[in-house]
Amino acid sequence: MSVQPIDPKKPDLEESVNVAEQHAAVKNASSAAAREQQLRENGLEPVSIWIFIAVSLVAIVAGSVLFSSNNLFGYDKFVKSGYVQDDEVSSEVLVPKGDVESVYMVKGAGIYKQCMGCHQPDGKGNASYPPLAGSEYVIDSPVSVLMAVINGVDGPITVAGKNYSGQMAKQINKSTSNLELASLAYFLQNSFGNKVGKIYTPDQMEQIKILNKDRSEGYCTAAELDKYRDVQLEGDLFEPGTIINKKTGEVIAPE
Amino acid sequence: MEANQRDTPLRRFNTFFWGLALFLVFGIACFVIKNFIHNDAKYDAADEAGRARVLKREQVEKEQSALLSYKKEGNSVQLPPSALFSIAGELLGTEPEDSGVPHNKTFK
Amino acid sequence: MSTITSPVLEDTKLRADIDRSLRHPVMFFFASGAVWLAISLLLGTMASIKTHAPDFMSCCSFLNYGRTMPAHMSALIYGWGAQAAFGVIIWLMSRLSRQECKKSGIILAAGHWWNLMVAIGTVCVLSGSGTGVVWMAFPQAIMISLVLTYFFIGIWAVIAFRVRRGGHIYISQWYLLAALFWFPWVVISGLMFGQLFLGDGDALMVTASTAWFRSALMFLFFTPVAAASAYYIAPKVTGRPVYSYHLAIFGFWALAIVGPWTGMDRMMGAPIPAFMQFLSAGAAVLLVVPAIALFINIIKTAASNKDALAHSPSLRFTVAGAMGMLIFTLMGAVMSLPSALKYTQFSIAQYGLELTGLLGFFSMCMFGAIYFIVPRITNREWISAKMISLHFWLFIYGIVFIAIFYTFLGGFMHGYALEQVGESIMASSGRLYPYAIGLTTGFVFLLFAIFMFCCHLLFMWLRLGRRSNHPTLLSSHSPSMPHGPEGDLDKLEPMDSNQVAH
Repeated sequence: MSVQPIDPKKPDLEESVNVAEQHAAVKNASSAAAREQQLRENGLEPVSIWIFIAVSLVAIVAGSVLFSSNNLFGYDKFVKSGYVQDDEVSSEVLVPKGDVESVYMVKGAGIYKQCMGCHQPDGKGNASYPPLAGSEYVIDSPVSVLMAVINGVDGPITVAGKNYSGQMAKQINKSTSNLELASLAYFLQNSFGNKVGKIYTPDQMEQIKILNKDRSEGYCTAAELDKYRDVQLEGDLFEPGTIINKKTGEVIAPE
Repeated sequence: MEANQRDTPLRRFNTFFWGLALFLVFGIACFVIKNFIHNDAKYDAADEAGRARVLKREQVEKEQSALLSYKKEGNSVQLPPSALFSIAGELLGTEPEDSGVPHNKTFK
Repeated sequence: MSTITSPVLEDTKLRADIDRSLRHPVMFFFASGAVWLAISLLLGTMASIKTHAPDFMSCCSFLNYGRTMPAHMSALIYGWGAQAAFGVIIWLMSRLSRQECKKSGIILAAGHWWNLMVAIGTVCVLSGSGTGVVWMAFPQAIMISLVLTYFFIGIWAVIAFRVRRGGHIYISQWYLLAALFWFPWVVISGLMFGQLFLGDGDALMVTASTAWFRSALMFLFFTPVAAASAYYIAPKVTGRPVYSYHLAIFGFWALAIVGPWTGMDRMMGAPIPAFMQFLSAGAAVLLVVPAIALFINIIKTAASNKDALAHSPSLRFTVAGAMGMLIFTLMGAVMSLPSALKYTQFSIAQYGLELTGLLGFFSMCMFGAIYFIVPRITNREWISAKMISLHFWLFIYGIVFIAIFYTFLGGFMHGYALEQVGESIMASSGRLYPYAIGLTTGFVFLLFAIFMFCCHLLFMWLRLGRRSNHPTLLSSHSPSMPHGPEGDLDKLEPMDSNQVAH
């Protein structure tokens, strides 16, 4: 059969080609391409409000990052020249410290809590227990009051013009720290209306401990306490405003 | 299918050479900008220190050579070192002479 | 053939012709890219082992960390990344512009030359002659040669676009065209300002330029190519339209505007103009915006046809890649906030982020494209769905390990340790020990996955795939058999012409 040119206006009259065969040949030759879907890009879903919100949040964060340097064109404004990160700076912050008067008052008040029951919170005592306010055994010297507290008191005693007879057990033991003793002395001498004002150092408390070592065991008597009233501690007192370490009592030198 | 109106050899040629031109122009522009636009206000700390050193050295040399000039002091004469450069070679090449001063070492 | 009168079949024939014309260069790019990926992951595993066991194979000087690390990154970027991208670019642009490629020979020759250059470059880096610049470790002559070779690969895609048949310009075409122009711009700028002008002694400019180059190459070349692939695969495989065309426009322009500013937040605190550093940090945060746009579009398009999502490997990899992009940009944004930058700026988090981007986002999208394209150009189907599935899951495990151990945990721990003034640098490296082991484990997973993939791809390249008219899908067919009866290609009955591609 001669091959006649295909008349595009009358394709049905052309018979030399088996269309189905041709189509199948194409499909078999490239079955992967034949079964592909058509690419469609006409999705017109409205952009959801959540996307706007998310994008705005990101833009706000980005803006804050962008302008977090206060000056975009001056290098000096956000870099400290000569800055060196110092190891000591971080450790200093962790040390608890304060000025000596407040440290002593707070610590002394804490210790006095166990004395409040008898000597009353205002330090005035009652009929059975002598007062600390205005007491000569407190004001004249720290040695007398501290020895009384360390060893206890027994026997009649005259305090601020009144007589008392009774017994005080020893309140703290000999191994109490010097810082606590100094705090207590300062607290008693500067509370309840007493105003002695002398700031004893913890090192001076060693003298009291030496005194205590020399005496025999047992309660202090009034006569002994009278003797101690005349004993003054040696050495230099703290200046007001000295900074000390709250835990150890060491002096921290000012910057 | 219908003919593609856009697919002409001219368009292909056009695109190729525009692409090539863009590519090369950018590279050349970078090269030119970097090599031929100079910032002359350059401060090199090492160069400045070197300049100071050179000045100092010249001054030291000048003062030192002033001290090394020809001077006659009584019986002796101070010569600048350069005066001896020519005869130093001759002296080193000659035999050692007997200086007349006695010594107690014998040389073998 | 003028005897084909059905327009649908003419379309099929055109597509088949395009595929056939491009089969040599595209298959070459994919196969050699996969081999380079395997090599790069091997080198990366060695580098990672060296960080926690420096004495491992210390006999060979070319296996030092200082040599394997840049060789690994260079092979990953120029060996795998660029070649996979080129393969996708030329095939996708030809398909979308409906132009057969008549210059496949030139592209193939250029591809061979590219491979040769990358091989020489990698050997140079391993023997110690690398430049030491991050992401540009090849010697300068090699880099220049690579750029010139790129011209002879990319120009044909631009020509195909210019002579396309009229009508709609697809979303992928915007991204591809942008990538075609951005790639030479970024590489030439990085090369010139970062390397060729080193003799001036202006080390600060070099550092800033190379810091910019790293991010710009990622966001202005790898990201658009991966996005183009995603915007093609998702609607094509599902048969549904892209979720929101306006969102796609918005995402493209967001990337174009924000992308070039990135990179210099790695130089925070350096004596470069303040606006450079802070603009980059802001841009790093803003890059989440195009990621959101891409993510929403792809996920919504894929979710509209859950069947395809379950069955198609290309779609699964593409969706994983879209998720990877969102995670990658979010990680980058978090790491660039000034309070976090303090810790991440000099730490391993930067390397972990780069890996997450290159492997978790770009490579996943490329795998999706490869699993779609290769059957079409070889006319065979993938051999084993199990291998594809193993590749997918092992790769995900590897990337998750890397992202968690190196970027999140390890990066911040490293940065925190470096910030301690009293501790030495050695102590901070010591803290990295468990994270380095995590990285090595991740790399081992990746190696297994890549081994599967390379074997599979090499079989396909050798024309050993399944001769079938059914695609290799990840789960068994539903009984409805949408593709007609299965059978060997040569023995099929001629199909009824009513059964056309839908």
